[in-house]
Amino acid sequence: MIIYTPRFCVKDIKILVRNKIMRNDISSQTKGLGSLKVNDKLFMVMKSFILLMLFLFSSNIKADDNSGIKLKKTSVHYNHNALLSTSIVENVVPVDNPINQNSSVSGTVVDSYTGEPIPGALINIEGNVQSTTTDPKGYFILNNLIEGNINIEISSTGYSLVQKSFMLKGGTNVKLGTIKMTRDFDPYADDEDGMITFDEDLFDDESGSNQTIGNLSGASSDLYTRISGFAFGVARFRYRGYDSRYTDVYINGLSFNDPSRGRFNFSALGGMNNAFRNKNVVNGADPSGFSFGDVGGATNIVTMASKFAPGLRASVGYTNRNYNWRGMVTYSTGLLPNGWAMTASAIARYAHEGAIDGTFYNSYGLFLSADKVLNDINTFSFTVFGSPTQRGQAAASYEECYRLTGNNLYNPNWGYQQGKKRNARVVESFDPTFTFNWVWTPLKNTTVNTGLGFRYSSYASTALNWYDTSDPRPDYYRRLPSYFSSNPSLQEYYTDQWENNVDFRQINWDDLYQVNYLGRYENQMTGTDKGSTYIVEKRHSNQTNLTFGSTIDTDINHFMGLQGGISFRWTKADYYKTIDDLLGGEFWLDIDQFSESDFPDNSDILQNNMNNPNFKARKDDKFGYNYSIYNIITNLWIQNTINLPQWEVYYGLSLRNYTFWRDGHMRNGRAPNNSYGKGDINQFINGAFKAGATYKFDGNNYFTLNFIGENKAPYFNNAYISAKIKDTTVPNLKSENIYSIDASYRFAFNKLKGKVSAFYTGFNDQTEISSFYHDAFQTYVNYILTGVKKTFKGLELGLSYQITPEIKITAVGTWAKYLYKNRPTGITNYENGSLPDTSQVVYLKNYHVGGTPQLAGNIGINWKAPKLWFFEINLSLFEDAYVDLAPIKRTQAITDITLTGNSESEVMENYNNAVNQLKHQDKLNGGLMLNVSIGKLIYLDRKNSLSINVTLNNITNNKNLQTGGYEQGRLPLSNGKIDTSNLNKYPNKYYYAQGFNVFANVGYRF
Amino acid sequence: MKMTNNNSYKNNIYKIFKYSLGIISVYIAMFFTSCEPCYDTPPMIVPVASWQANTTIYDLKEMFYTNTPDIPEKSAGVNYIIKGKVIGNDVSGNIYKNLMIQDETAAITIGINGTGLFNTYHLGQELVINCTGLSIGRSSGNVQQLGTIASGSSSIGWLELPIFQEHVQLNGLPFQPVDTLHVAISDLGTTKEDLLKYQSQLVQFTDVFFKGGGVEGFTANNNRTTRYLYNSDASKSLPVLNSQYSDFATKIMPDGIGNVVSILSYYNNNYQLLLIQDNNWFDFTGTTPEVINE
Repeated sequence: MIIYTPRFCVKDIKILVRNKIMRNDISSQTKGLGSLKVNDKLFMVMKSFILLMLFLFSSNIKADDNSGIKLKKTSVHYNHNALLSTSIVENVVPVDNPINQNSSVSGTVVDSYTGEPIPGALINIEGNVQSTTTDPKGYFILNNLIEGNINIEISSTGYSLVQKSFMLKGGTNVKLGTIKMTRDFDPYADDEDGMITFDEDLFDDESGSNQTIGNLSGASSDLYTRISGFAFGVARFRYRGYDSRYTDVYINGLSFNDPSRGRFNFSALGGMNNAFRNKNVVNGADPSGFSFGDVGGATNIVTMASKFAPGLRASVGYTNRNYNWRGMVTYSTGLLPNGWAMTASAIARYAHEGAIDGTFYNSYGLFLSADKVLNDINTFSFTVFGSPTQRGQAAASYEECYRLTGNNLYNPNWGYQQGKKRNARVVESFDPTFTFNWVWTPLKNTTVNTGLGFRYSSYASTALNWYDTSDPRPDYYRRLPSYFSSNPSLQEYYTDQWENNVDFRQINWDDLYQVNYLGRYENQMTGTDKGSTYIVEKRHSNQTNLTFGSTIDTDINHFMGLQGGISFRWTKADYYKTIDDLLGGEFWLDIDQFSESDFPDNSDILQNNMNNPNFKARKDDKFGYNYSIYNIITNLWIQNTINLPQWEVYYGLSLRNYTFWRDGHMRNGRAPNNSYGKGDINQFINGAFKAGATYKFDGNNYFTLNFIGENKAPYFNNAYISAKIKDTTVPNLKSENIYSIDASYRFAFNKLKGKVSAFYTGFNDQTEISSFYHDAFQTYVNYILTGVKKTFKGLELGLSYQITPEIKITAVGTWAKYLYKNRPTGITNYENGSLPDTSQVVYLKNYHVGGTPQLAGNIGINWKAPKLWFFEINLSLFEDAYVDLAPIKRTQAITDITLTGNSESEVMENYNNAVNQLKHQDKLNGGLMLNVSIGKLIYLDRKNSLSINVTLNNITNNKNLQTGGYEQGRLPLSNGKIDTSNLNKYPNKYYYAQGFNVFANVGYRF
Repeated sequence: MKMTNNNSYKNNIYKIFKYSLGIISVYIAMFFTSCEPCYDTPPMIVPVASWQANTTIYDLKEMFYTNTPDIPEKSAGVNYIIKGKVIGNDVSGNIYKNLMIQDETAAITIGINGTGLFNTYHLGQELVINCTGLSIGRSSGNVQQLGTIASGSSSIGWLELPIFQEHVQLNGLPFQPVDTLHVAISDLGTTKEDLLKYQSQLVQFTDVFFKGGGVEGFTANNNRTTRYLYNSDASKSLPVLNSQYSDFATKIMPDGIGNVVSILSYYNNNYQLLLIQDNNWFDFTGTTPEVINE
């Protein structure tokens, strides 16, 4: 017989949010230390901060690597650690530790209106690494607390934060009794109904990744992280400028970052906010109980059914963004007396045509989670979810196209087919995922979470391909008026076509079909054997992952904790192309057309598969390339946390093995002996170390310093020169070295609370690969950068001020510099081997890392009005974002110029102008964005409630904000030299933010 | 009591499982059978030109024998309209940015700034062209063609493809038979009448050979190369211009004596041959004769 006990989950999964949460509505009491002493220390800390900031921004940053091109070099070296240690650590005065005795705090959290328990609410003690979540009965207990002034925070999505302050004496057990939480509407919290999260970006980036608006904020994370995650997402803001591969995402303690690129694919979550609402977010190197973490922090999404409050939630929303309609329903049983808990959730998102012309959206998600609580010691949990999604994509385009069409969201991907809009770039994704966990609590303060995860991820995106004809894409540069700059009448003609002829500025599908039909007809009439001239191909990238992981979280004694974990991950990634649509043609000849023109008398080299030469691919046949990458990751980590009355210290160590190899399924004519079958095994063994300390001046002022040093293997997606063709890795492929230091000061002065942080991160020995069509050599080129060094440094601020109990003002912002800091080596690889690889110095020093604003801020006012009305207005600012660089524009190649001019000085002037124009890195348009939210909560009765909310985004309709852009990899050459008459022949491509848009939602729950 | 509760919970869970399975089935069925996006497949179009030709190619060429930047109306409200079948295009890459069309009287070259023209303007495709508003003239003083003449220029240049598209209609399906003029090298005179008749025409030479046939390729050193076609007694020859971008650029010229079909172009006051594709030489037998006196 199973005996239910409400305490089973006291440390359940022990989702220790070890980060020191800043949202510290802490009481203003400053007990334990004399106020004068505190003020002195505050002064010293502030002084240290000012020094640190000065140090971080002391370098004279140049706009670009001018000196490089002129072959002069200046460099600045810092001794960060030395400076930090003198300016900060010296100022810390040790304080006597009181005697620690085992104290505890317990309570039960309920909804203030319905009286129902709130499971999964996060209980956090300010300044203490220990935290927990409420069990299905809303109960929590925190043990091993240190005597002193305690500020406890209780947070749960959709509820106002609750704070309690009291004095905790050694050896006492404080019972807080029933704690009531009031329903709230917070536009920044990923409330189960009110928000759009986990949605795909409006655009695919050119590399084909389905970049998503990765919202990492949890119910009670740091104010800066919480607000920046939402408010800055529109500008493709990246946390501290890092690529998302430096942020680890776990589901129930199992790693689910894509092992090929290192990023977590948020679209796999299918927009099911309800199902994935329980998250623990750790910033930067802060310690956590579920992983070692990474420089970009770590998030654990907990889907265990017993973490969901019982009841039904349903909502219907309308928006004019990627999709128009969203319906969502979630039902949770809560923990039943027989020890079972189940949660099921479903979502549908749909748009016949999204906000951008020619896009569509069709996604259905399902989620099911079941827990079986056997007893106090053992809990089993099973989760399965997946959301098949099909969506038509938008693409970046040229300024000229935006201007001509009068539409900054012009999308070149679509065109009319028989009067109906058809998109050439359709993404289909489906990531069914299973996790099984056994949470074992053998001792009161020891939790072992062991899990097994399986995911099969399929991702396919379509694109036009063509053979022996010109590029059919409407914004091909030869179809733009600017291409005819020397012929005004033609320019006028093309301008007119762009402005007035939709079949000209979009894809003309009917024409593509007709061309293919005539190819077939020619076969009939003349006996030729022609295939399609145009096709739609589908590029597949599928993965099978099997993950095993086990973590332990235990208290060694009343002030020391030990966390550790071991994990094993096996992945098979499959890459191939299939024919999606022959567009009326008979077949597609599977040869490489670049090789065909470069090696006309070599019938082998142009074969994509010599084992099946001159293959006539038909619908759904694999062609082009077909290979698998196998990958094994094993990881071992350990961490020790020490919690003293005025100090918190942690340190940790991680060891990782990253092994991968390629298995080719085609014998490629460009690499006949190096493409088919199993390739060489590549193995990297890496280590990482981190340590940090928090000094607690009192209950309201904390200073934290973190350090992390990592040695990280290159992801296999970045390891091969051209994995589509051959098993050849990047020359001197090596692990990158990362070090990061950050310092933060958290404070609470009466109604003002906040945190200010500074960070400095260096990345060394990075490898970057880009591919493009080389105009001069008329062939496909891979451009590989090795030994790249970058630094990321900046300041972050998060402030909140409670004007009245109902009105709060918040301000968050970051000011940062993300720069390239050396001159890496660039390797030009001609994919078909028509020319040998060449290497050159790339003068990147002091250029900006592109793609994210380096200055961003947000000010918001939140008013909880009477009668359960909620209003929020906020204003965001984005500045200092830059286009992504094409390295080739920072090489000596740009100095090979056809010299023009009537005198030596004129020649030099023309020369310098040309070089400066080519190497210039464009800054994206920044700007302001104003958003307003209105919410209303209606209790129909004690159980049933209705919530209505409307969010008006970008209400000033700012359409000039550029959210991204990139340079093209080709140079404006004429006869092999830079053609100064048309330097802007291959202009940058840009993304723009959407203008005014709305999200309206009606939610119901009981 | 507890047992009852347990049973009812089990029932609840059973129901949830049942409903979940139902929902899963419905939604999988919805997703995989949904028709979003589905498109109607465009039908193959057999084009029918609405314009009627009112001028022969010969007459047009004769009428505007000197450079004419802007072909006027034929009469008030009536344009000069010609029609003809495509006899030369860029199908092999040997002819670049040119189309040649032919009617029963003559042929003309049209310069078009576009590649892959052969995908729309196939060999044997009848085109109806509204010449009014286009230019007619000579490219570097040589072959007479339709195109565009920039102001101040004495030479005709390529028409932009979209502009050509506004001046052309397709009529019927391509690959219709075309006439090939059987000529001897010695027939090719250079009087005005000869030029009007022969320039841009599709011609066939019988019993001819390529100098270097069986030994040399159509092009050398990956460059544009001029080869020579001789009549069987090697008394007369014509230059054959071959592009390094053609499909047959690296092929060895046929050995022996045979027949050759090509477009008659004109350069430096002399005819010049442009091969269209690699079935333009056939029935070659024997060995290539030696050319003693060039």
